[in-house]
Amino acid sequence: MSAPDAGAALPPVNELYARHGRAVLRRIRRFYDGPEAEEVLHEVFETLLRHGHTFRGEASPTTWLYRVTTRHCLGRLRNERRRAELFEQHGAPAWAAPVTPADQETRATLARLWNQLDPELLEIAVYHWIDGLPRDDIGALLGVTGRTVSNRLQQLVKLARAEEGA
Amino acid sequence: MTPFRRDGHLSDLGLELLEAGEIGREVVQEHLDGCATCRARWQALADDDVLPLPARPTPRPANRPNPGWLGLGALVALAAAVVLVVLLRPRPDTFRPRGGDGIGLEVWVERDGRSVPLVGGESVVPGERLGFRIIDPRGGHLLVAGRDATGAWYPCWPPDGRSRELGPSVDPRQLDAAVAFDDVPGDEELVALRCVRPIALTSLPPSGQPPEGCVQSVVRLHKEAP
Repeated sequence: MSAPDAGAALPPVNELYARHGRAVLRRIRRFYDGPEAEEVLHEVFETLLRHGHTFRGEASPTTWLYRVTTRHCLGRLRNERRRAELFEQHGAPAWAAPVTPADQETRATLARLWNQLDPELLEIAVYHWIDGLPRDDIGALLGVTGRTVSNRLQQLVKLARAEEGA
Repeated sequence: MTPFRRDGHLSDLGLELLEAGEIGREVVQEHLDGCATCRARWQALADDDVLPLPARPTPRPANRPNPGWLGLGALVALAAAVVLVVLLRPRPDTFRPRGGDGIGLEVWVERDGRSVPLVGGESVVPGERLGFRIIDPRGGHLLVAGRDATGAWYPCWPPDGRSRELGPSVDPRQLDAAVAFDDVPGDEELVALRCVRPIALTSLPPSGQPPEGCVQSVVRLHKEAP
């Protein structure tokens, strides 16, 4: 995977939308489905239009948008505290279909901890347990080291154990 | 960064980087050659990528109403995402969206020496050879059959028209049979049935409704005249 040039600039938002809009929509469909997914798509790009963006050229546009979109969806979900049927009704789209089953313990951990986690920890949990990314790659996405990610994952496990013991 | 997950399969992000041309095909080619699941994911993504986008966003007034605090469901939503291994929801009429009890049918046709997935409503011609893949997270007695424009059923898998018991599988499963279209023109249905008891082609009702104890997935096609 080649790294983009440091300091590279993103194209204007409209061009970004035309080029990467469907990729952003696909990521959103990990969290939302149907018309609501399109609503969230607009929210993501509205945010970029309204507030500019934080792209610094340290990641590729696709990688950067992947993280921006993930954070937006997680923030939205936290605020809404949506109903459980969200995914059960719609399922995952084919390109996003997990290729290996997650274990019951993981599922239970996330279920217990969801509303206790700070945003970064939640993001790490999603990248690790749902997206299955290696720790170094999670670190690259977040701009921290793989070691830091490992520590944060250990923190998650401790939280889960504490929750079990409570 | 690598385009791979910890389990060795392509990550969602890896697929997107590939689609965006930000990594070379050669980086993932070996894996794609050997992994039917990731090939199907890559194909589904490529199919999705050509669909139109909604109109471009324009800034709207701030302070839109928040949907509100509706309970503790968000945690379960995330957890549910983890267990959606079995709930592939691909292209319309190719894979069928399913609940936990459903079954998915994918129909492939051989064209120009390549296997390509068929989308519901697509036209086919007599003589074209079909292949099938099933996604069945529950398992049971499986039968795939076709019904031509005259209402006549014909077996697709197993070839003897009697269901075969298969275990559950979270991955798409290739069925070891292929059929070729005859020359009866008109609307054609391909139906995958998963039943709690053995079933035979001869017991399928003319209505097209699934028999009791069965769930089905249907792909509807149009067969052109020879």
